Amino acid sequence: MAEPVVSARSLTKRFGRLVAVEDLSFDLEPGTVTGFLGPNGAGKTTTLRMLLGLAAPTSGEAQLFGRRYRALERPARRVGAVLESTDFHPGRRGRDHLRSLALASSIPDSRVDEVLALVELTPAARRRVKGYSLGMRQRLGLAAALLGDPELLVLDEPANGLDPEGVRWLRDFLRRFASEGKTVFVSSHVLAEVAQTVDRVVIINRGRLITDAPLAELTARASGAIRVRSPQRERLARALEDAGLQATPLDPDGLVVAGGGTAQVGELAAANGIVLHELTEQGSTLEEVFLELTSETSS
Amino acid sequence: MTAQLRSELLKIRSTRTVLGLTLCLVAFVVFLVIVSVYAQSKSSLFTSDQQRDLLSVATLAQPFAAILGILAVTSEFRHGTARPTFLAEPRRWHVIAAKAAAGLAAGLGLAVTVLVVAYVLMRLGFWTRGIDFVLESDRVARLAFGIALASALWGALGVGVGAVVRSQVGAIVGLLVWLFVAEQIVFGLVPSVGQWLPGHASDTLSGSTGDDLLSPVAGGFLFSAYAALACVLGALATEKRDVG
Repeated sequence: MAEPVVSARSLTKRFGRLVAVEDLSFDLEPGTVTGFLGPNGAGKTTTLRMLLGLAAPTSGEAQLFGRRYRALERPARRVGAVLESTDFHPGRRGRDHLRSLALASSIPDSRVDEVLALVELTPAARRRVKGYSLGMRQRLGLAAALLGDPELLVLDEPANGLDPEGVRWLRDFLRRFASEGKTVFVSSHVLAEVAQTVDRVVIINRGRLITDAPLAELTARASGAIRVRSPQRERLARALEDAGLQATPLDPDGLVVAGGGTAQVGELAAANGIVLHELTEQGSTLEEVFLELTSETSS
Repeated sequence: MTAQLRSELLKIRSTRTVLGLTLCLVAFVVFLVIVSVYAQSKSSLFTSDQQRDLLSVATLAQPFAAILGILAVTSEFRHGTARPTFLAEPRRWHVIAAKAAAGLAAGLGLAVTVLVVAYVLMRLGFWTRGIDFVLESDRVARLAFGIALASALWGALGVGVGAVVRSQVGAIVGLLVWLFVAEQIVFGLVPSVGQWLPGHASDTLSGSTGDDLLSPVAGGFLFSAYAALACVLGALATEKRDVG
């Protein structure tokens, strides 16, 4: 097994009494695209900041290429990262923003123009950032991350605010990037957003690791669940749980049921006089599995 | 480190902040020189000392230099560019050191600009009013050197203050209140203590004289020490605290 590109070891971050990340460990293999998933507030951004040396872990350690970020020589040539889509001075021209970062990493201006072309921002390069759309800012951030032609790309919620075309552009881009043997770590609070891009998922909730698995494993888990809707959802959930099935609330009146068949669920409902509006065998979507995984720990 | 310095100098040049501050400062100085030259009686502009006081208007560069230094750090936190900056150079004290050096350069640039403007305008004004320019060139040189050095140091000190405070408004307001209120009160009440404070050390370096002030050389060293201390504290604070 190759040396992991990213290695989190018992990462923990506390802000006063609040525990943002707790005992989080995972590895990323080179050449993979890993989705870093969890609901908003799960600790994803805090984890990424610790990986990138912007925040100090309360305990534990994060290593990139076997070193702490700070100890990397020429970090821009190993790691590119975009944490916020808004990290620009509004009065600075896009190209000057990139040049200031290129200078700090001893990267020539010619590379600035290359990455501008790569993210299709050349026509706007000499405009001030305040005139950029959100999509253009996202791409400028990506261009900054790519300046050093890094082996690892870390992106925090890159699809936020992108239109469908932008999302597809990003997906294609990340796939291409990974096909060159490079590694991508991309966070999102919506699994569906990255499901077509990632090979692996690391799911956290409330700062703790929930799942670290290939996407295929999650897909396998997705089949066999039952989706049921009822105006008497609470009663139904109790009845199902009394029968030893697992019921997870979904939407206003839906449940995802695991551990039994449609027949059993329907009979239980009838026996208890509960009205059903829907009873479907799934193929539950990945999103539902994701919700199920992340709600298990929060209830 | 020189790479980071070049980056910081480009950051200063590539927004309109510096241009705006410089224009504002120059306008201020032009206004004050014109008022002083034309609104006063000739008799209050005859002596070398009086003319020197008029040229001292260039000390206005100092608070502007300090604000520029503060902005060099706080605007990075305000706009979030601190993140990409510290990703590119994770040794954070290198960034603060480079910013301090850029602050020195920017402060120096501001001082030289207003010194030239004030001097030229003053000569022109005197010529139009028929006043002889009697200020000796060695006094001009000493005054210019003191103001330029103090202004450069203020630029670096601003970087340190900005790195400690991080809040743009907090740092600027704090500095101005300190300089123009707190220090004045302390100096007014207890001059023997007040003379050791940074604003007064800088004043004597840039040409103020008075029985209760240190000598210019002592003030220069003391103020340099203040600027260095601010930068060290700023670097320590930046190393220690998380980047938002």
